[in-house]
Amino acid sequence: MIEGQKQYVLKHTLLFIFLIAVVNAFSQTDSTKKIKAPKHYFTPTLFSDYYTTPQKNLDQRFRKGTEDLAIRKRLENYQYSQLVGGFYFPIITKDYDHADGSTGNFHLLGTGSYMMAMPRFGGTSNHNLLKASIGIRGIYNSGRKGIWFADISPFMSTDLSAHSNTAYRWGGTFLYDYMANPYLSFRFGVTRTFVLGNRNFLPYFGIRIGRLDKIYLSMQFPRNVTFSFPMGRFLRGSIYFKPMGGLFNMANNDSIYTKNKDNTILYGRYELISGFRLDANFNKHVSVFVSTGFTGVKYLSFFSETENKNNRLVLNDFYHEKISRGLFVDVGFTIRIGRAKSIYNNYNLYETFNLNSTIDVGDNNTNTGDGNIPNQTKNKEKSNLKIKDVQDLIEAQDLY
Amino acid sequence: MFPQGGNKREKIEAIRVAFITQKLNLTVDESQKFWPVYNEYQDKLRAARQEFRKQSAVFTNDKEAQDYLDAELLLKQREFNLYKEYYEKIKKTLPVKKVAELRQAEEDFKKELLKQLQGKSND
Repeated sequence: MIEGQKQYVLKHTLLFIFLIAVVNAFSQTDSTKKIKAPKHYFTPTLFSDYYTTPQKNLDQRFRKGTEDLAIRKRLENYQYSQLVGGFYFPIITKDYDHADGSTGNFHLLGTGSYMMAMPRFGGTSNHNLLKASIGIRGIYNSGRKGIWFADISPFMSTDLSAHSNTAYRWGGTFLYDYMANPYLSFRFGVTRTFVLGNRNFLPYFGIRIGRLDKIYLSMQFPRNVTFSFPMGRFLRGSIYFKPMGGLFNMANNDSIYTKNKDNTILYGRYELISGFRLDANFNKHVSVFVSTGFTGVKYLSFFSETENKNNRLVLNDFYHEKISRGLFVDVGFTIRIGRAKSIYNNYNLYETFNLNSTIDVGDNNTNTGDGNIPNQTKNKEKSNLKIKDVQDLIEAQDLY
Repeated sequence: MFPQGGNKREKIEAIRVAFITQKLNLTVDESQKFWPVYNEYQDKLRAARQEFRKQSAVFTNDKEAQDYLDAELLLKQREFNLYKEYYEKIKKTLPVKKVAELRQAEEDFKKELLKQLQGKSND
């Protein structure tokens, strides 16, 4: 090829590349990518709730096989309250368009929680036990039948009222959710949890029958059994059973444990509560709930830190007390900040949201509710429309 | 049929979703594929229109008027590009007959809304 031809080809090749670049610069992807639509399905969310039970006298009779009458006499009575707060926020959201037309997505959330457990005994000083976690959770919604969920929440536990050791533990859940259709889903997995008042490594099994935006029955072992139903546009009622509990470091300043000269013991509590919960979802951003019911099975335990030093799984207690039944009251709120991607009729994402609320941040077995999932009711009211309500839906030419 | 929440636009969105669902008679499988794509399309369309509405429609000089016209042109371009992009994506989720019915359902829904507005202005 002679020099002139080479230059001609080079010049036209460069011109062609330049033109392609210009066309690409003004192409659809560029002009549509710049649109600032919401990035995430989950919005930064804050939640808090307060739970309390009335004072109960401890049974002072000596029972065969127990040697802890002295401790029982020392404690006299027992009352429990707790304040829980927490947050989660999206770090990464990634959508995947599959060849079959389905859309999957991955969500990485940062999580954090605190719990102030406030056990009160008639015969000891007051203890305010702090449990605080920082964690991470990843959820992959395939957009088809399956959803993978993984959560890990390392936490610390200490007694704020008196000098105690600080313990570092972790809770976590890993599971697979198979959603056969919007009316039926199964969950299988494993969970490391302290909600039964001890350190447990348990299988997770769940089944839900009924649509999440309508009436459904959900049985999630070991988290909850819930029958949930919409009550109009804003309200959702639930009848439920669930365990509540935890394992906390507590100062031994009242010498509850007398061996080993330990300055710290572990306080464990477990309650199986049954109640009714009313969620009010005022809008996409604010939800509140009130709940009340009975604590059916209720235990209180103390564990020696030293005796369980080499114990890797379930801890052995030195004191165990069954508490008589009583009422409980639980009130809370959830605040969701900012705009999120729409999830209307996206049942895979409804399931994803429900998974996220069922397995709470910080392993306290509280529940933020499903305020993101719109209730399906039969209300067809369309009155009081204003132009500004529909301006995103109607173009100027539609008016002619 | 309304979602939870006091925001009227959210309610209308929910009515539209119900309207389209009913008109298209979607199967579970179709629904599972269609709604994520359609929601994303609507999110982007809404964001583009909201961005355009930030432009002031009161002009004190020619530059402001030109900026407004440019923004309007950009909006039209974006709407068309989104339509093209999501038309292809939606075609992967629904049979072509239902895609065509979707356009008709959207138009019918607009007519419903306009009827509501008209009824209100006649009151």
